Amino acid sequence: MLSRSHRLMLLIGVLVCSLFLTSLSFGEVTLDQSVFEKANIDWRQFEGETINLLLCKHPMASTFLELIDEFEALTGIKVEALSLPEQQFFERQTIVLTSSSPEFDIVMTSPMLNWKFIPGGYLEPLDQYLNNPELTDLDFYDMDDFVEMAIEASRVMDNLYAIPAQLEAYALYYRTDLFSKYGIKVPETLDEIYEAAQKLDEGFKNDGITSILPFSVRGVKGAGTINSAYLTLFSSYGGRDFDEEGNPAIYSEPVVEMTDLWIKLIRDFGPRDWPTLDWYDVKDAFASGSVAMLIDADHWGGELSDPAFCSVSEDWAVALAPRGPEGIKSNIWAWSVGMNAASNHKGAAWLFLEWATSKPVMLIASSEYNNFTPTRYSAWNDPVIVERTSKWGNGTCREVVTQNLEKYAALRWTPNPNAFTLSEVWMEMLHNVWSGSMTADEALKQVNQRAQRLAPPKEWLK
Amino acid sequence: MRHVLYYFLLALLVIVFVFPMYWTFTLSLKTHSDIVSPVPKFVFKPTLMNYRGLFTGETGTTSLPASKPDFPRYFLNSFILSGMSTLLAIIIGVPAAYVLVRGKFKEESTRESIAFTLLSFWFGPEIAIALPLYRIYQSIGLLDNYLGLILIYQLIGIPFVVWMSRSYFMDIPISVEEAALIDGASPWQTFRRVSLPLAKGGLAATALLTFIFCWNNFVFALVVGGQNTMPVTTGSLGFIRYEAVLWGQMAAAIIVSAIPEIILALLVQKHIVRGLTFGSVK
Repeated sequence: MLSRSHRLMLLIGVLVCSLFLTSLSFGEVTLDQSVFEKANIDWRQFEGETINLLLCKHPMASTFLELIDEFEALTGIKVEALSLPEQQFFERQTIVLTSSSPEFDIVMTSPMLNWKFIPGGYLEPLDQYLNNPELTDLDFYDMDDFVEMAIEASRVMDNLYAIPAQLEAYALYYRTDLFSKYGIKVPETLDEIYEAAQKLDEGFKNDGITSILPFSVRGVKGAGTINSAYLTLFSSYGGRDFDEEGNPAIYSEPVVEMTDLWIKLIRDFGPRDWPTLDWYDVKDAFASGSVAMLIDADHWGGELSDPAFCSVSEDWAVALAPRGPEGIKSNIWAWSVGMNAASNHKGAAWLFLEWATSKPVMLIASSEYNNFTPTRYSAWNDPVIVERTSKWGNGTCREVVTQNLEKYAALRWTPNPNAFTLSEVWMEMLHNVWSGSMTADEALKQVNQRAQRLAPPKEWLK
Repeated sequence: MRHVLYYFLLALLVIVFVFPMYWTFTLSLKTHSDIVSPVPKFVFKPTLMNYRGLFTGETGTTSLPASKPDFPRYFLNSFILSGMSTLLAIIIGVPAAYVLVRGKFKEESTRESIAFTLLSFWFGPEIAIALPLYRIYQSIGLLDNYLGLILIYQLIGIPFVVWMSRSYFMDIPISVEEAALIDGASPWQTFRRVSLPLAKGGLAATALLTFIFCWNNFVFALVVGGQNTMPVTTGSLGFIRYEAVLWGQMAAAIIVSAIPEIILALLVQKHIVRGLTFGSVK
């Protein structure tokens, strides 16, 4: 007979063992290799080399991890990958690139992140590989298939620093059931959003509804907050961060008015804990039915249409971001794939980049791993993807995203290594306006003043 | 009347400490929509989906594709790292503590100087050494390596083990050891056969607490760990996915990660109180 402590030890042992036995293997997704073999390049020219990928947990990373075997079979290049959660990824990326460590050959990045690493020469410009017929078959790769503004956003001083793989622009989500109940038409401007919020608020008060907020948006201090709804509105009111000479141009009258109204909207009808809310908080709030209007990333249709994720999956739609005096001008964020300038295997790394952002891989990334919105039209317009995305948001999603891709979205920052710092300063000032310790006018003057020290290098200006 | 007040305050304390655990447990049994419900749900239909998801990678929704389950690996890593670190800390720390108590020093102040030097490793924030640590580990190839993490965990383990076991050895009357010496035992035999068995209970508690401290460490694993050595603490950040935060799976991971600690705590419960009040006036 075992003693009590031995039995407990045995229990721990059994528990640990069973944990590992239950981790199951995965269903296989395969690529049609013949498509790659038709490309007019020698895929095996770097056979025997090993490359390392530094990835952020993202649909693209899942795609790469799943399909690595196929790349290895095609090229004979061995691939190792490290995939980290977002926060850890940012830290590791900075350490690896800025120490010129050849530890990783491929890194995930984005336009704003590129700018951090370009001044030190830490990111490899890609045009030389793209235009080398030994390495790239341009007919197979088809650059014209990419959303042009995404490629533009990845250029600095006419050099291409990364290949964008996933895009987000910004849009207005709203609850169709509440809008029809209170007879509200879909708002097209910031003023109309304010009016709609007012009507919703009155309606909720009359009906004794306390669990739904008329409006919400993320507000946490971080680059993502300024980058999303705020910069979109700012640009549609004619705002610019810097002028052609690189002087701060943030302060202007229309922008002050816009900021004033924006903060008023959040203060009057938005969440009480606005400065602490990140994208997942507002997304969860909308999914739980406790928010009537929300401005954020336009690719959330899939999750919000899923009844297991969203309790109001049938009762929402999406509209373009509000129109300002200058029209609709959504900003973007683009997850991309780039190359470490300190890599010792640049040729092999480029073959991986070419393969990883090719049409077949990008299509699988979207169809199997939720990579939305893809940067390739061939993926976005694939029949499987069209069928799936057309259902989202009562049929409104696909149209809004397509219009963003084609017309309304583009990078609104001036390329600038200090964009992250500037957006933090900016957010701090918006928090001050929200808490009432500053007026919008004072806040924007401050941001403008502090932006003088955060100007982009002169040679980056177009 | 005083009893009523006493039990009322006690009940209040229990609620304060137990409620977060209870709430995390209920989260682990909820679906995503129950979790984000605007009104907190106390009554809901429980599901084991989140626990299954930890080991299969499924998310319970069609819109979030399944991914390779990392959690079992993280869990195993936590076990290896905490277990080996504790073992090493005990092997080094216990004899060191014994020497600090019974050893002869030229100057009596040396004894305390050494002890306080060790204790001082706990004073600074761990993040303060993050960058030099990374550079050193990078140059000697200890990044993302079990040995590297086990070594740096000694910064937590050894000072704690030394100070804890020192107090246990101090409690043993010196006359017991002197009796052993008179009977012809060598100093090593005295340590091995007399002092060590007498301090056994306390050492068990020390080992357990060291294990818990290592298990809960976040910073070192973040700085010098990697894909292969990631423990549950840093690995749990992975539940913040690109599309959504998997709150349910995160809660399930917390519950599963706490199980070994709870079982170990039950094993040496009676010694633990002593460990927790360590440093208070005797």
